[in-house]
Amino acid sequence: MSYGGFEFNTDTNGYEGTDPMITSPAANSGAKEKKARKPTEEQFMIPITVRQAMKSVTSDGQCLVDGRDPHHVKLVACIKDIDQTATAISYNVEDGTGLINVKEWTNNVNPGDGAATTLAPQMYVRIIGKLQSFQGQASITAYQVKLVSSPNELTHHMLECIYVREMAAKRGSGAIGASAALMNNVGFGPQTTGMALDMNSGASSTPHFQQVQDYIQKFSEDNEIGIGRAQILQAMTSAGVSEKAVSLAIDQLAGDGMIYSTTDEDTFKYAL
Amino acid sequence: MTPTGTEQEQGFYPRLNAAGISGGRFSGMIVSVVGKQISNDGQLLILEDGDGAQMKITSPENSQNTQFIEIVGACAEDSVQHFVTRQLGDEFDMDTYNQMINLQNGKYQELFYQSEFQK
Repeated sequence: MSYGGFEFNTDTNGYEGTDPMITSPAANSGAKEKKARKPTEEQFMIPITVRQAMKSVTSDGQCLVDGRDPHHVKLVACIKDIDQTATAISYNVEDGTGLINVKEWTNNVNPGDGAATTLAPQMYVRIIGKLQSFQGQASITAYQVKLVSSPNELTHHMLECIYVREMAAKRGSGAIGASAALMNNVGFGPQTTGMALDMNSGASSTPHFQQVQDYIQKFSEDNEIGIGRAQILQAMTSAGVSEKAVSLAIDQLAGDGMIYSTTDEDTFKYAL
Repeated sequence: MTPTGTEQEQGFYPRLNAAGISGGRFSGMIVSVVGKQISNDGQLLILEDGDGAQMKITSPENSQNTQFIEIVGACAEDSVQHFVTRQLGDEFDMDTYNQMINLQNGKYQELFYQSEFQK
């Protein structure tokens, strides 16, 4: 799972952080103009809690999380109730931090996917969608509402929210790449089995991490499409860095949202 | 209404372990506890948290549950009165969950707590 905004786990049916133009059936029939697509570097998805969603609403009706307008959000919460109509399924979900309404238009639900008929109250679900506000209240228009793959996903999601918040704070303070300090502050123990926490290798604390980051950043300034993985590997290995360290650093940078894929999954551009 | 007089918002409930219940801070509030089932005699359900400590759940359901469950209910001085049960399967990582709620209830309350209840 990475938060560059362009890659996502295949257990979400290959969702790739692009905007699938979700609209209501009524809007579809009358729509003549399509919204301009956000620039690639602004398309990102972040994990949030309901509390963060509620606090994101600004006085002018925007939804800003850590100062940014998330293109998509991911939420793991428990269904409190479900209301199904001909055009949409409306869920009220809670995660212990608050209650929020989630609407999933039925024209977006795959008829072959039994999730719409098997979800029930007191089930934990993973929701991916767009955070919106109306009259000061936050809500989510969901592209996907699915049962979590494991109950451990709840714990993992909460920890991801903490991690992303810390990374946003570090980015804001200019201390980019200082994830070693982050890990000390947060105090995680050794990685446990069954929990795929992605903050384990300490790759960001090695000198090579900064080398790789600097290299990609330098090339991103002069190249619209960024730089390919092969070129990064060639340059770094000739400077004495192992292939494994380079790959780890690239994965870490993509996971932190510092770099993102451009023309293909092996071409990267610096995000900031 | 909590003892402090502030109403808990819908969907907000602190996630606690045995130490959190017995601390007294959340007495009178709706809370969530997660644990491994140790026993259930119909009157009292005992759960074991990530630290190995036991939590008492009064008025439990008498239904078939998975090994790990979440109970949402009203926190008393040394127990939780059952409202809702959620199934968490048989392979829940209690250790990591325990670490997570320590972070939630400690340094990162801003992401998880209704502001009136932040310490």
